[in-house]
Amino acid sequence: MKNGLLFILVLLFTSPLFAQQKDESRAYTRMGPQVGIMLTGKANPQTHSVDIFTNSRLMSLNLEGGIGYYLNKSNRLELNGSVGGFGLRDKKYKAEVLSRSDAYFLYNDFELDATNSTGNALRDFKVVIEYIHDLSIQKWKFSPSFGGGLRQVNHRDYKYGIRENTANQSIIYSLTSHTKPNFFYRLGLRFFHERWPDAEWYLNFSGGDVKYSYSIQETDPFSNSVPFTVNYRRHLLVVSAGIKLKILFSDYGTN
Amino acid sequence: MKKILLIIPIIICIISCEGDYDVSYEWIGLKAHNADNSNMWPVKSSADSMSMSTFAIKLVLDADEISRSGRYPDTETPPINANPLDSLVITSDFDFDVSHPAGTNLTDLFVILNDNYFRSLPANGSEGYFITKIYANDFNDQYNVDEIDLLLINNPDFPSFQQFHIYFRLSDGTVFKDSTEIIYLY
Repeated sequence: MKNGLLFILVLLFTSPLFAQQKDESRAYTRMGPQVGIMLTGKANPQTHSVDIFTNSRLMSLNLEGGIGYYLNKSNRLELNGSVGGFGLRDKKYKAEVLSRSDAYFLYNDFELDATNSTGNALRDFKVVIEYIHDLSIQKWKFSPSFGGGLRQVNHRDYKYGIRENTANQSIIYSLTSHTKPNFFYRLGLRFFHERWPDAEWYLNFSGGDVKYSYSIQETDPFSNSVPFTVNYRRHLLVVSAGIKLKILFSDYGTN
Repeated sequence: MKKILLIIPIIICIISCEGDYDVSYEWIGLKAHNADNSNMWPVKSSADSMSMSTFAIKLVLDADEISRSGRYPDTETPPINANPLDSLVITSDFDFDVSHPAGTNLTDLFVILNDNYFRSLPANGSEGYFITKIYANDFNDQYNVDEIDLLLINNPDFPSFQQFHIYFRLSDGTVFKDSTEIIYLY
């Protein structure tokens, strides 16, 4: 996965060297931030005493960059990669989990320290290939896009404790996550004005399953530990918006 | 001139970064109370009966600050207890169970919560007495240890009346003693 991202970054930064060698170059690079919101993300099935993930809507922030190529004046292909994460708030997560049952208490503090921390984000890596069709309406260009790629959402290892409200003893769960890249699709709409062809705004809608495997160590107050595994699937639907700065190596596609 | 221009920002930085608290304190008194742990955290209770499953003893300590410098509390430089706990003995006037008749040491049956279920310590001191507020949610408001919660983790065999006596010995030999109110544990 990391090698894939490295490959994209290398392409991103070296493509101008090749592109500028020809006057009629059709290549370009693009890079920019995007913010999004998770529409759905319910963990399924619910096999654990406490949901491993919150089902609340999380905000995402990504930095995406890539290279593109004009097939002709109005059609292009892009290869993009992004790095980012979903925000995960300690208090919000705790309140949501506790609202499901009044039989136990949940103890965790994401910002407490490295040992107890979940971190405050789910790391999100994506590689996506997209087809874009440019439509001109007066001085604006609107470009619907669609594509697919691979996504990996990682969670930092963490601990949490559960205590029934009828007992002094708590059970500590130590979680280690294992995720693999999963396919996702992306539909989008971009637009830019002829006057500022290098600044491309866009709105994306992406979806796909993310499969998780958690190795969990359950430890009681007397230090007895029981290991077990939880597998579950999570369908992510994310709407995101952003702006990318495009570096064109000729006027191709903008005239 | 260049030196002056360089020194001025450095001085400003030094003044503005006065730094974290450097606090030293000691305990000068102790009160023992019954406590109920059926909520998120133990709270003092004046009830005359309580479930043994959620019973706790709350020690309220009078913390006297010896010195302080800096401006901000920081968990990386927590207050230093100049005279920490050396040993703790808990006894009861009543038989606790078959192996713990009245007057025997019950410390093995309790844990020190330490404001965090991940960081609780055996009350018998087998893992030391690193009692601190750095794991507490309210550390920034109250950074000196002024309360210790002792959770009962081994329940008596049968419901019974109990009155616990606390023997709290500090490193310099100072001893604090107090007793909880009599309570019926069911």
